Amino acid sequence: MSSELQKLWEHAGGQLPADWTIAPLESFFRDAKGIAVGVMYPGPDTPGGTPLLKVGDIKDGVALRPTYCISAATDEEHRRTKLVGDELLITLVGNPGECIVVTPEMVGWNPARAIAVIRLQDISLRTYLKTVLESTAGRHLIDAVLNTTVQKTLNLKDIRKLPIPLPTDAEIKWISGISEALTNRITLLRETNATLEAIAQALFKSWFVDFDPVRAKMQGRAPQGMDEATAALFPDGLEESALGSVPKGWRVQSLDTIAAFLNGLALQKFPPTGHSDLPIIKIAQLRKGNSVGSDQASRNIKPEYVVKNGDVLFSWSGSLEVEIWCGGEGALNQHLFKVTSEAFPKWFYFFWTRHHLADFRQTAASKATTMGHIQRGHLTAAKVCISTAAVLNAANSVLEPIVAILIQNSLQAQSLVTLRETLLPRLISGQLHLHPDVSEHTAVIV
Amino acid sequence: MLDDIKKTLWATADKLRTNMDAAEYKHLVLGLIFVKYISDTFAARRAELTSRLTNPADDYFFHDAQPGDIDAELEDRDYYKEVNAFWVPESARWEALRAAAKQPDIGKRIDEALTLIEQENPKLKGILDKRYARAQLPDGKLGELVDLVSTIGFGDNPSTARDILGQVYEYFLGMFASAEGKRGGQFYTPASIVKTLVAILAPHTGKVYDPCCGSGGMFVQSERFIEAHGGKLGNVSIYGQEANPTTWRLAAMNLAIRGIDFNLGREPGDTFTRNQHPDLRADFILANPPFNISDWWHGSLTGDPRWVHGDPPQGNANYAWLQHMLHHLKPTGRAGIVLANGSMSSSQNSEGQIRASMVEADVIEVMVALPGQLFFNTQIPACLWFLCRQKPAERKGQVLFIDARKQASMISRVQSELTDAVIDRIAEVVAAWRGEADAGDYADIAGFCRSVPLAEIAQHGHVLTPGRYVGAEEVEDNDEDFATKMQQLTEKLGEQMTKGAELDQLIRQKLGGLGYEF
Repeated sequence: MSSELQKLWEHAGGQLPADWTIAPLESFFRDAKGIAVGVMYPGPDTPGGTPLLKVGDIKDGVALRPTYCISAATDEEHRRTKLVGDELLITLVGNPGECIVVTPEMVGWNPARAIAVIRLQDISLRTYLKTVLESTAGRHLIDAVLNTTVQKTLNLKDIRKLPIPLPTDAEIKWISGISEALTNRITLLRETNATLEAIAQALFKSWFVDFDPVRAKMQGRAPQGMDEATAALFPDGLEESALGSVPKGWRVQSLDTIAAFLNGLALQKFPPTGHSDLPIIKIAQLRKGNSVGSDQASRNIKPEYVVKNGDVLFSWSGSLEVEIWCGGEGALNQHLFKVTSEAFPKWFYFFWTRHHLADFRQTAASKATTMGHIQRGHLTAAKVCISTAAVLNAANSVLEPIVAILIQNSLQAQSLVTLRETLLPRLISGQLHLHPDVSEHTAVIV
Repeated sequence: MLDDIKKTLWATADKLRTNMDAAEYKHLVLGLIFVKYISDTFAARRAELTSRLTNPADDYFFHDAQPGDIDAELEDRDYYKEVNAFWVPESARWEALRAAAKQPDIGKRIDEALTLIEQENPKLKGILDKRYARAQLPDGKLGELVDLVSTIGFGDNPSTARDILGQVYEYFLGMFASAEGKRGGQFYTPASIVKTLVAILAPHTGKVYDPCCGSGGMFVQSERFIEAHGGKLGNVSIYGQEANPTTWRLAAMNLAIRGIDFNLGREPGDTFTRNQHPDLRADFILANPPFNISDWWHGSLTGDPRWVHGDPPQGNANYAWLQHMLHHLKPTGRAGIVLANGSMSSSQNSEGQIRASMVEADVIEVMVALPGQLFFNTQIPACLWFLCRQKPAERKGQVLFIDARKQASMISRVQSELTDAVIDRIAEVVAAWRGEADAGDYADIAGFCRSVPLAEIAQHGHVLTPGRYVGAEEVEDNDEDFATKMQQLTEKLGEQMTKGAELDQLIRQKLGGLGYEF
């Protein structure tokens, strides 16, 4: 049995050092029913019900809070798969073989049928098993057993038989430790960015949209969260404008006058040359935040169409998004604007474009066509309020560093992802071998 | 209970279809259900008369009846007419057909029975489809179908049996529409759309007209509405027109089955060129015309009195339908029309000018944007137009916009519907806006409904897409002020940064352990 498994494992490019053993995944299950698929028939979305975890809610190995909920009755019918916090989940379709170690905040959710729920004898092995299944050899094995009749699907009986190489307990512990540290750091960087963005957004809205400091002065109060010198920069009255009431002495202009919106190219005219090509950045890449697996285009395009880290991109057709791109160099595809400005700082045009995004989406959705989009005229119709240079500078001293850290964090997360993908497969295939007497901190490369 | 019966019946009927096309098979099945229905109704009335004629306490009591008198009396057609029952000759009654179900010539016998029924009932002339002898079904299948139809409502009392037959007829119509998929929508509008139209229009008395009535679903729903609101069926008269001959027959049977009195014109015909009700001025018009027909134009339509707001473009009938219906409204009448979304914003050819003229003439009352995937046969998103000649005084110069795009519930992977709760909510908003008694006060709801003055619609180039006017839904802005929010966010950030530093340290140490110092 184990020699069969070893053959499989080695055939997939894994290695098995002499002192390791190998066992099928099902040998780690709590019992014969240690694997089950989630909710078969979710029924209609029931706000306030049990969150239903779908494959689409899983991003970079992290489960986001589901938006779709099932009724109490449906949940009761599928109580066997309701999460208690000690499970390992495996996706069966979409990107089959992705593993999720269930965290405390996921307790009480119920996964959809495209996700397998695994309950283990020893739950401390969850991270290690995830690492094995997501290693190069593990992926290879999963790809080999995928059933591709309609869409790539992973079967439970194949999952049960997946070979799992086993080093010593100490090694497993060590591997799990680094895997967890990297994963947690990547997740935390994303969460930190969400907080930073919320802070910048709140400050921007308070100063430039709600005019809190101006209104405070009009009521004879000191504006919150700023020193006297900064407060003195704000006027103490409003005047009428095309945008309604705005602070005295501030200007109202069109969104397309504060930044240039450069539309991307039809890149099929620039096929890859095989030599230092660029990944094409389309809406899908913008949504993912990276260009892994995207099509390629020749580098032989005008330099302004080359996207770099930190560029503001705005997809104006289909699903409308505004993001600061941190997925590395790429070529700007049509239907995406690269937004730049000589006169205004990045945060200023980024948040103003974001501010109008809800309206833009509505405009696109009210188009009769199936692919809603906006036109340049809508950028002209969208108005922005521009403060005096003094207020702009004061805001810039806070917001510019925040945007810089945002970009920095995204890049750090990317490096950690690369590191994780490079290092872990070698650890679990024995290519990077730890001494049998491994301690917490030492390892030797054999 | 009845739902299970319907499902079982459908499954059985569908099995008998073997490989016949659903569009063809539909007429066989529905025709048989109809014959059973009129035959059962006739038999029930006859049994009732027999007992009443011999009951001394009844108005109908026949004094001193001689043998044969009762039988002769039972032949009086007026007894049947007064309850909207059809006269069915003996050899055409369902029992006769059922007895012959196993005969090889059952198809021919059914056709002959249909001919007899038509001869006896001028109202059914040309409505029954005599296609049974020619039906391309394998041997014996038609007989099995007769046996199957015999089981519907069998053993129930006559009035229950009739109701069951009516419901089965309607259920089958819907299932056939779904089975025919793409083409099914030509004769069938999904129930939730019809219900929405009816709930907003509230037809309760007077003339109800559908110029492209398909299988008559609008009328059936209107009847339900009237009954649900304690009205009498006799308070409305039904006028319809339908161009497709087979669909026209389905409609006539559908209405006859419910005992609704109807006028579907002398014959099936094109609404624009062979208007069956030229002088009709209706109280209520409900219609789901086919979307965006491009080959509707005929030279004879130049300068037609219906085109009050401008000649519709020859390549699209949407604005011809709108103006046709407006033309047929009483001064106090109202119309509700299902159309493709493009109709609300199109400015091709003359459509933009016609729409502007209709807006300025103040004949557009309510616009409703619908969710996608409501139809069997098209993914085109649709909308509802409501027209009227006289708005309530306080609503003159205003249009009510309702955006129901986000109100759908999915009933299958590819089909959605509006639930009764959603339909009621929409109807309540419209009733309040019109200022109807007991409807409460109207208020705009961001993201859902708004009453808009004509001047603002003109600013938008007379585009009538509700999404433009109702605004975005109120985003839950938690009321915490800026300072509190910043306090919370910065605390969170502090924790994340501390944790981040610890993790960075741990990763550094782990990688150092592998021999990578940095």
